[in-house]
Amino acid sequence: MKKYLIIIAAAALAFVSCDLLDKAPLSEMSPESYFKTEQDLQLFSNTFYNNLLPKSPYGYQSDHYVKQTMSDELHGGTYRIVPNSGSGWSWGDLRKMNTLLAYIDNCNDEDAVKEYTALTKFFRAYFYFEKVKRFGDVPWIDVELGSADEALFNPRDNREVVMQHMLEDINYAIENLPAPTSQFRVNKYTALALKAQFCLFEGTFRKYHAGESTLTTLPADAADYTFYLEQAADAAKQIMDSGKYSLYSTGKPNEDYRDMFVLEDCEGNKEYIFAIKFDYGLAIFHNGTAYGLLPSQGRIGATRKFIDSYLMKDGSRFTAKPGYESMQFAQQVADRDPRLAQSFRTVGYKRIDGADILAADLSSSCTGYQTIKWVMSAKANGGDSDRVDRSTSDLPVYRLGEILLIYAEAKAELGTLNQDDLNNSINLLRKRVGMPSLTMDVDADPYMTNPATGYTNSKLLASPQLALILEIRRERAVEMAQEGNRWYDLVRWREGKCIEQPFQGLYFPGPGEYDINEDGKLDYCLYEGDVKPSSKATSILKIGSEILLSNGNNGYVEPHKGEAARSFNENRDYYYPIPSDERSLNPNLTQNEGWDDGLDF
Amino acid sequence: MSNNTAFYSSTYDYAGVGNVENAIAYAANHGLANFPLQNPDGSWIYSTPHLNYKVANGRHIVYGNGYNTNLDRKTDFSNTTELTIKPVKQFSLVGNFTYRFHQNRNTNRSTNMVYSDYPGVFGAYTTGAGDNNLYETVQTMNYLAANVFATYEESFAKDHNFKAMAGFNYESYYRKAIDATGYDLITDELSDFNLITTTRQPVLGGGQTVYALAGFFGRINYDYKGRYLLEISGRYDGTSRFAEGHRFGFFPSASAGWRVSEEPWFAPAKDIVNNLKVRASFGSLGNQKVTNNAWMRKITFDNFAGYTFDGAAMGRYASISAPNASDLTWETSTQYNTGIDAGLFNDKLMFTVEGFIRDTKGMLQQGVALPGVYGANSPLMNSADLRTSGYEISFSWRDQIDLGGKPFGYSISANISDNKTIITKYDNPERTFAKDYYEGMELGEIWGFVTDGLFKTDAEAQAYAQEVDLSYITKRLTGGWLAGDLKYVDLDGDGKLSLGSDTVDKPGDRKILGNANATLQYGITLGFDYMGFDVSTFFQGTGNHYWYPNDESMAFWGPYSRPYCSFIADDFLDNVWSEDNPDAYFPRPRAYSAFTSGAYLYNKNDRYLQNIRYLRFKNLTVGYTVPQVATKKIGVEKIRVYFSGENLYYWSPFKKHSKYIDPEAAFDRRDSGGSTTRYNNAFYPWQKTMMFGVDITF
Repeated sequence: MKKYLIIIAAAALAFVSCDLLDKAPLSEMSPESYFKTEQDLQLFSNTFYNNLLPKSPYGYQSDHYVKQTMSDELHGGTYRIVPNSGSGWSWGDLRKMNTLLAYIDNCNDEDAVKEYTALTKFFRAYFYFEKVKRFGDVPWIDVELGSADEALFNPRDNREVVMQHMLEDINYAIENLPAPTSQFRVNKYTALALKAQFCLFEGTFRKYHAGESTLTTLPADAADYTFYLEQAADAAKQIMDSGKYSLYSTGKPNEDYRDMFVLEDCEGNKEYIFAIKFDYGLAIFHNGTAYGLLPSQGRIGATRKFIDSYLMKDGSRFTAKPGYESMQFAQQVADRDPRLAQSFRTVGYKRIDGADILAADLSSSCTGYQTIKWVMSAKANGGDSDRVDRSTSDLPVYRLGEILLIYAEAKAELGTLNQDDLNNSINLLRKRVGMPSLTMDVDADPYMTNPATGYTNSKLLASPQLALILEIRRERAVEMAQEGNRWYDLVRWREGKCIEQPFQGLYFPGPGEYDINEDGKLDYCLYEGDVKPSSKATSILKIGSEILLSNGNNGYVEPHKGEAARSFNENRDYYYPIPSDERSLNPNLTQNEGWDDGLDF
Repeated sequence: MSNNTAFYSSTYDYAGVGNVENAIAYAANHGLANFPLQNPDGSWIYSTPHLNYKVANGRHIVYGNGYNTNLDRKTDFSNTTELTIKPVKQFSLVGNFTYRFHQNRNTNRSTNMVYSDYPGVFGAYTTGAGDNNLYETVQTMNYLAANVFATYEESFAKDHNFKAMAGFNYESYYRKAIDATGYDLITDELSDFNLITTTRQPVLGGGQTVYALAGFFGRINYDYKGRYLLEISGRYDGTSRFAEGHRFGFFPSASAGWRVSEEPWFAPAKDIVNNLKVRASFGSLGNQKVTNNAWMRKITFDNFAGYTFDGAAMGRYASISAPNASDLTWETSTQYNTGIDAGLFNDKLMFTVEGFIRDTKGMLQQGVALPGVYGANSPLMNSADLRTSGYEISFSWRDQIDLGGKPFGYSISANISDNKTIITKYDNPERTFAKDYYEGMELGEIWGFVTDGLFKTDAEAQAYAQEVDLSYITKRLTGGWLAGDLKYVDLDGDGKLSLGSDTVDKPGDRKILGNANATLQYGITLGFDYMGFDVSTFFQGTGNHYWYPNDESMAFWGPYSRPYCSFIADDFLDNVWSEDNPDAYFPRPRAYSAFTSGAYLYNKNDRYLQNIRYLRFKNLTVGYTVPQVATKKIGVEKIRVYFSGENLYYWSPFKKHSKYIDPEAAFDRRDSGGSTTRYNNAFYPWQKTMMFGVDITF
């Protein structure tokens, strides 16, 4: 018996001592054995691209683009509340950046360490730009936090502190990122573009919010707005002067602008500084085409006030024409800035590679101003791209066009803009589409300062640069139509009240049949009463239910007629609220002004 | 020596995308009653030119077209060889070895959803559930276990019985998966990777996991004349899941019993109390259920779902797992039990009374919630201690009497139990609700607002909104407060409906409205047999417990959740407030008011908190056995015909407000991704089963 006991004991000892319980992971690596090579750093940083970059610029609503169902931001008022959690207060990507920076010294390849430190700092500045835009003051965190770290309970850092850190990061990135090799990878000029963008944002925000409650916490020694605007202009200028980028042009002013946004392969397009690649074979799609084309994607449409702000082809103002308010579609869109017809369905519109003339379709566009900006060729991918989530044109993140606008705006806001600057920026954009140049002697457009259609900020109206700034804002809105900037443009200009302006569409003088694009085919038949008339029109719409008009049986299409009035609360809505759970977890976080999160501290 | 070998193989095929829950959940909205499933020409309806939303999310096509087929195959082989050596009578040595091989081979196919908006014009939905793809996976599991233990058994001096056992065991488990997805097969009829026609790259996946357990165990039993019973046992277990130095845990147990009825002095009472036993025990158990090597940070690799840097190949990325506590170790629960078992009148009446306290220490779970700037899930740690205390009583009575000269047998038994759990340790000194628990919290507490009926008039509503600041709950309150809206009470009298400091001590206008865990569970079984008939019934029920209907629970909220829900209860409108129906249960109809965070029904309140206490007629069995005299003649030993019904009826206060959610189905569901949305929309209904049968014994 003893013999057996000994065997048992020996076997047992053997089991425990020979590390049978050491079971290292088989399909995963440990951080200590990782971060060794350039490839390790690249794979780890690849998520920053995927997680942070905007993949649906066409989808944002603003006073220029509205859907049938408006966003909570556009509704304002009681549509906006303090959420318990989430809602942009997410920090996972930042943590990953700080993790990479914590482990990057594992790597012995010094060039790779430098490049990927710079790349990570680029994305950290990118990350914080989104946070500052949304929340204003936010805690600055540049280390990988532990669960017992006191910094978890830090209060929010002033936006000035955050901005200065962002500048350090982006300057390091500009210094250490390589020259461009691919439009789909971050490089020195990508960093310059980001710098120009966030410095313009901050400079104009500081200028127009000065003295307002949105900036009350700014320390006395904070950098002046002019500092940021100079940084913006300088960064933009470096890109403009690099000789690496030029506006996309094949000498076709009536097509180039339209075609650029639907290029299947943007590699040859020297305007794109940074872009996202889409590919049919890999099933990497966006929704741009369907967004403008199909009735099922929210029916986004431009507002009439935006359409009216496009200049005439000769550079004169459409809104200076008598009777412009009650022009019907064909008259309204005739002889305008060629970008109008390259951004929206106008008279004679055909799809790229399409045979038929198509009218603007109210069923796909709630205002009747139907966007075509991201709509690919009718033959793209064998016609398959006309479906939901099947678009494969490469999407720009930064393009030279925007850089030129940043340059002009920063200089104008600084009061240092001259004709040369205009010629090197705005006028290049105009030249591409065959528009006459903008000159320094322009007068202030009353349409753009009309409270129903333009800007009302008293600082702007008092500015000696008013006329030029208005023209540059017009140019920005037109050139960058449906690229997703407009909401934050209103924020930084302190022009939130623009969302309260009328959201209107096509003008109809009354019941009857309409061939809106004058192609000989009836498009709409509007009727009153209960009897549906027989008509050859494509759509027969009952006034008051199937189509809502501003003035009973005539007027502008008002897709949201009868809905509660939109309201923008200037003491609340420029910032998003901090989620209430986050304030409970960290009572040092203060809430943004005006937001009621139900907490008594 | 013995050997036990088992093999089984099974196949299970089913239609749809995902499982049946998925189909029900996704069909629960946009499938309004005015939509037929098919057009007159037989084609499917999916979208219409006049509606943005997709009818029933196309799930009727998924099921109707017959192409979305799934097949799960399982193969399992296991073999246990055991060797017993018994050199002397008192001693035995047993060694066994088990090997188990298990393989799942699953195939899932989905196809384009073809539909028609206009006669003769067909469209196809080709993403999501309508993607044309084939997914195949092979998962192989290898499990081996070895046990060796020695047993020594001896009786001394006739009355002292002694038994000791000691041994060790080792188990290891290995799993490997390979899966592949291929796109755009040339036909919907067949499913094989050879039929791929596309340039869309197939996607491959892998994955391996392994873990092992090793431990020693021992047990000593002792009894004296079968009167005094004592057992002491212990395990010393190690697991590969934790870091070295934290792998082993010791889990002792002991129990003692005293069979009072076996005492010589008890003999006089034995005619009445034939069995009486008093017992007490404590036992500890370990739990190591976390993912393998959870204490380590791991770098994993994957393809993006849709990102490329060059258009030639899908981009790949590395990611790192969130940190967890490096000292993760066993969670231990120790249970202290004491009880009495008694049998009276020759076991006609039996009862058991038992009380217990269970202390769980170092509960393995997500740590205390951290501020969002942490940027990852809170670390998994041994974070909470809790104590569960409870009791259980059961009794039964069984007898036979003479009824009209025939034996009438009947029985009744019942059991009742209750327990509650209190958090005894948790790092939440502020007692804030932003963290999951706080010390002293009873598990299941539901905090919410108190209400005082619906406003009678617009004037009353607006006056109240002047008096109390209700802005915290006014999301989507288009038009402001009106008659029929729900009146929330300003409990703390500060003139504002609020969360206070969001802590237990300053909860604002909230209080504990109830508890999600039942105060009682009980069961009653009744039965009799007489003249060949046998009847048995089983009732089961619970005491008060509560549920605030999930914001996605459209079976309860109807259009107060998503206004485009597919199914609305037939009497729903009778319960909705209107000027003509001011005493209705539901308030003024406002779309999304129960659904949107910040809308006023979304906040838990006492008016719509549901008491889901129930009593269920769980089973009824009625049988008749044909007299043997008759059956013997046809050479049959016994014929019994019977009816059996499961889940026949229930009583519950909840039934008044929803006939469509069984109280046992009234809980918040999560899908496999952890999301609470879809699976609460609608779910597979509770079933009633009725069975008729004949038993024939030859």
